[in-house]
Amino acid sequence: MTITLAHYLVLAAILLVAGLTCMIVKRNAIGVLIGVELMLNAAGLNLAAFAHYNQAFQLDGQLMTIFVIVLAAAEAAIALAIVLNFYNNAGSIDVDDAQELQG
Amino acid sequence: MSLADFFFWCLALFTAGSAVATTVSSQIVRSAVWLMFTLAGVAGLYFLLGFEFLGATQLIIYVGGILVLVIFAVMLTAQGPGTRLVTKRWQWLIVALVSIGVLALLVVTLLSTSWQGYTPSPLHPPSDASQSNRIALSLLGSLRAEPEQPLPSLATQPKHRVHYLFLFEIISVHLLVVLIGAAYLARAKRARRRNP
Repeated sequence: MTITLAHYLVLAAILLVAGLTCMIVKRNAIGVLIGVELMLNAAGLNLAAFAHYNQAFQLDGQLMTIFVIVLAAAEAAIALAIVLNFYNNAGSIDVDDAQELQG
Repeated sequence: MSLADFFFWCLALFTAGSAVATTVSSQIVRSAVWLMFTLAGVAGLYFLLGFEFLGATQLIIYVGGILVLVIFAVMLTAQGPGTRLVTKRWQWLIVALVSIGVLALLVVTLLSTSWQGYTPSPLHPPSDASQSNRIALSLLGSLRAEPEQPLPSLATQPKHRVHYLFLFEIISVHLLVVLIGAAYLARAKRARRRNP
């Protein structure tokens, strides 16, 4: 049985669902961020797999994956800055403590 | 089973197992270490797909950059050794139901779709330019599209130049703005508190 596109897509789906679960279930704000990174990796793996299995998209898929990686880096930087700011103000890293804007 | 298939199964099991371990470990430092293994596994899959530049980028930016950032944030916000914020059991139950449902939906949809026409392309592009060379040229907007055989349903391939110069510029400006914003948000504010 050779490896087909569906194998890669199922693996990416597993990564996506693991990231989603991580994002929902973690109470640490950095854990939520780790979940987002997992989901972005799943998207990148999907794009790379499509680029490999279709000759016409070979370059486009690679470039899109690079853009995803760069945007993930930017997102991590800004999100960690916000988390640090929240920790300085609230003295806690628990996302359940971020309730000041709740009505 | 060829060697490439064997490597795929090894890497896939490694990546998926690390991703699940990232989710279920209750300590945030262990989570970060499992995330490192997941990212390295995805980089290995990029190498296996024949995208060397992508794998190297993944290793440098993710494993070398983002992960260091995450570890630093964990250290700066630690409230004691081995602090754990425990999720309640009934919350785990609900989340497990939801995520198993989403996974089942995705996998059933993927397996019931016929991926006809998606055959693996040769491991290296049939051109003299190396892969990173082609990527750099297309970012600069000076790479000519080669006459390739697109899928029958996707016959409208551009015949002109492949260029991503505009996207490249947007990403660059975006990165600059994000870095300024992050430096502004994370700056030390102690001086103002001392002299009100």
